[in-house]
Amino acid sequence: MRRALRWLDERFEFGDTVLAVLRHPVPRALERPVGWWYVFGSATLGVFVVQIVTGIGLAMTYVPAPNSAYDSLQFITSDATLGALLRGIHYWGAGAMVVLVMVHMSQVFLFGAYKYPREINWLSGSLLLLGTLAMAFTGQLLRWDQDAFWSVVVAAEQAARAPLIGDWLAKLVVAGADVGGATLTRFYATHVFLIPAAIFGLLAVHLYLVIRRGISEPPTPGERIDRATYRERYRAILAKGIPFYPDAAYRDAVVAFIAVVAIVVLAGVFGPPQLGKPADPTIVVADPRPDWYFLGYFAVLALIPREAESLVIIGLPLFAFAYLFALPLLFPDGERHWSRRPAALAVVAIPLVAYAALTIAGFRSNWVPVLDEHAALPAAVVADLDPTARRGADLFVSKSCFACHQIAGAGGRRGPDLSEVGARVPRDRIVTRILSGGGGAMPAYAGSLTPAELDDLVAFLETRTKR
Amino acid sequence: MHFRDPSPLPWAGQLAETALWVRRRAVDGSEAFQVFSVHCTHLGCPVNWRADARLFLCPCHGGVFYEDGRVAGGPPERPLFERVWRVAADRLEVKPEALPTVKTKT
Repeated sequence: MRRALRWLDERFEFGDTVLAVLRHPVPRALERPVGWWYVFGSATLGVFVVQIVTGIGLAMTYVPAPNSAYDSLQFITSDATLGALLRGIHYWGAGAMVVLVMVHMSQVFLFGAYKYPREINWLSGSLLLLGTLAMAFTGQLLRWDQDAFWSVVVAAEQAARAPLIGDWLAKLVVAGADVGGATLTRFYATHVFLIPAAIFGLLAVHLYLVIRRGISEPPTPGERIDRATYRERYRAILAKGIPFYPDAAYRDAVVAFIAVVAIVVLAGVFGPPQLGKPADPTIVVADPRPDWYFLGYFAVLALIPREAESLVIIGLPLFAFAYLFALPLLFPDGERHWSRRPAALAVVAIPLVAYAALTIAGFRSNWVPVLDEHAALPAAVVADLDPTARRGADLFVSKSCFACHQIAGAGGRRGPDLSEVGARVPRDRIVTRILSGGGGAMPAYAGSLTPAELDDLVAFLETRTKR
Repeated sequence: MHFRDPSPLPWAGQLAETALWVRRRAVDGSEAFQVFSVHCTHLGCPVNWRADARLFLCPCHGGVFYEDGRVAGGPPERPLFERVWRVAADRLEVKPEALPTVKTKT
């Protein structure tokens, strides 16, 4: 064994190449608990490897043709050995990638590690973030169910809003004039070849720079980056440093291992995402939702005022990435510690809280009418109604009022809760609102209610005086 | 109504089909139609016809349209996209078109 190793080493000479790289010095401060903040890049890399392995596994069975993709996914999920687990790991791994990239980036940002001389580490990382999000989006489309199909349509409609190149972009997204035979293969090639190739290239640059520039030392308040003296100072820090492997690397290994185990457990417990109905443009009764990490953005699209819409759809992502790319070029030196950079804290905290709130809003989707064919008012509401109000209650459901308005805790949440509308709003205002609509969301029902029906409906609403 | 792409790729399967909403009405005694794309004019999700309420409702961001395609509420800015149609030999014919977007249709 030993002889075989020596034989190989004589040929490869790993000792002063690979091993030397693994043992590159890192600041001694990483021995302290602060070192645990430096693990998220490796964890992301670990999950990325899992994504490659499971992705290859899925690609062995998945058929990227619109008439077969859904069936092949059904096969993977219910017939193939460990297929459901494989899909599950790839799905939860995708979510973990998005989360870990964000955590890694926040840590680097808050530690001021993007500053001189590590600007290109940050820029390549920003492109890797873009790649990760692109993988997440194209990946969920390959599921090729109704969610996927309508996500392509919505993506194309958004792209179409870009100035000048909108049309061209929309055609690029769907690979033609409309979502059709060419769309899925384009997304497949993009997800499996194009973006991974870009990620591998960027990863090489990113990792080369991590080794070559060295890991940033934990920041100290008041210690500013000065481009004239930083390299000298950093060299002195490394001279007293510790070898990355094994002194610091064990933490990376532990956290990466935990991340991978967490993904496998999630996949085992919750399984892969449900396959909705197959992608079919003729099924118009759909309720498309993106995967959870894009739900916040989905909510933005419902909640922004009409006038700002195109600006937000095109401008906000553009601004976010322009900010990421400009950041290290605009602020390459100065204070690194977060306690001296209150604006930096806000830059992380505000979007984080905002996106979390939007994600919750996206889950609830209060703006969507509840289109349930079997919707019914609570029994307590319709009990003891006189015949007129009883007919009104039926109309309340059949005319889809119930889809947007709550009564006694049931129904949609788009419009105001009407549980006690009879006590709150005088009869003539109820009538006006029903007939002519208004408030931005309420349709005018003048054309679809007969006078008798209107009377019944109002009679029912007037019974609603308390919850 | 289902509508088949005139020249689909052989493996397009169900994707060669498109759904349309057709509204049939009489104008001055003769028959007339309105043929709507199912795509909401906000961001393209499929609008759903609620016959009793005489409204099209969108499941994504809450757009609402009247039976003639006008906006009744929600984020959409413009009425439902209409398709060019004609009646030939007692059949309603609809012109095939690209995915309608806010930009391509005015």
